[in-house]
Amino acid sequence: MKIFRCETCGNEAFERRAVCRQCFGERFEELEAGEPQPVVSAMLTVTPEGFEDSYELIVGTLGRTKAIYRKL
Amino acid sequence: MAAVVSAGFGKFGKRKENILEIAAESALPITRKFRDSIDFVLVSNCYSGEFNGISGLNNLVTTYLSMDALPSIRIDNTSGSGGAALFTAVSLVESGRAKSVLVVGVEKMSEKPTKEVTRIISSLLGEREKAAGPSLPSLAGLLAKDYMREFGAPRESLAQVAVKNHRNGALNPHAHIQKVLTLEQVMGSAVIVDPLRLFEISPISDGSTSILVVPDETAESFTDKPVYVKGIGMSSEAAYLTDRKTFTDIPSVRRAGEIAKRQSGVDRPDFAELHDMATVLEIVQSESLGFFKRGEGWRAVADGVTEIGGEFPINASGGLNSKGHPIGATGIAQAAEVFQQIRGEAGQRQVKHAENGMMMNMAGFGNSAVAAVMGAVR
Repeated sequence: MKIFRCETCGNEAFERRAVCRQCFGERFEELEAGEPQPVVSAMLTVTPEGFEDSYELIVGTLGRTKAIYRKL
Repeated sequence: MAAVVSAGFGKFGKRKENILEIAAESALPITRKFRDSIDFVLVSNCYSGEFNGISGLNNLVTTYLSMDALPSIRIDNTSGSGGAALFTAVSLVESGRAKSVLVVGVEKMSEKPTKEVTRIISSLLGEREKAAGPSLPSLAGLLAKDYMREFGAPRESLAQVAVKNHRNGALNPHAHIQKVLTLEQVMGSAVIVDPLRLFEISPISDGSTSILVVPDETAESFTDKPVYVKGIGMSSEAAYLTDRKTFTDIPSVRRAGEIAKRQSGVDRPDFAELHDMATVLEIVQSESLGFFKRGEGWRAVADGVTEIGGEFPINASGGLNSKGHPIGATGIAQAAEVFQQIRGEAGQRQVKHAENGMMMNMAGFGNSAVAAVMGAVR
């Protein structure tokens, strides 16, 4: 799974920003951070339109940031 | 300082009327009395485009009320639209830019299927987070698991919030759900997102509430019982959930509350209306606002402290959980409930010794928050 790393301070983020929240740098590299490690999850049975009717939503650690993903 | 001098209430629930008719239901009781003095209109609404195919709702509302020439603005800050509108109204009158601001909170959302409503509401998330398929209630489900694990809160303690708020909502003639529920009924209702059940999550509601906000200097010319906005704070947090350290503290709520308490000089109001989109949120917000120690909010619920007759009543109105959550109306309904309570006009759900009350309206999943301390005395 990919993350964004600030080229100035190395801060990592799952979502892209124009400006690093830590050092206000404006240059990022997109890199592969491997598979997230699950921390907490919840099974959804009412889901948004465009998605399956049921799945597990998971928050996990990914590099030095977090990721949100789902598992059927 | 600003004051709320009038409030109008529409019935929350699934309504057949269109959004303008729903807005007028709560605005007319105010405009009939104070039409000549109103010089600005704010319309708190989040999704008129997505739910109703309408843009420029503020101008449509003022026209429908035949206040055609008045300046008006639509305020959209997701679930926190009402709080943002109150914050703006207070700023307008305190700055002298306006003398009398009608704030109309309104939403009509029940015509869309639940899955579509869920998609529309989750559109406030970051692009990659949204692609994972979370709903707003699912984030509350994750929070519930974190909270129970971190603080050892029993599962039933979360459900007891729903029991309390439905009992309160049954006393509120404007509430969407007017049904007393047992703990067994709450725990036995359908799972929406593990571990949260149907009756622990706010329903999809239509409805409106309106208030009139004026400077404190003129408040007594409108009513002999003005309710003063003694302190009001607004704060935000990263929209991206993956950038947050924890779910079990909500910094935007904490900071907004600190500002409101500091401005008002009231550290401990007598009661509060909080943003219980899901049961666990009421507990976590009550801790972030400093009413209970971190990790102990669930004990206050279990011990009856937050009941109408308890030491610190929370959501005497029924909260979003029972009263309903027509998104743009919610924050205004919270302010209107505090207004009624302080004036001693809340009927069977009246809180005793209600001299100062707090409303806290939250956008998204704590993306921003507005807290206001309101009181009978300046």
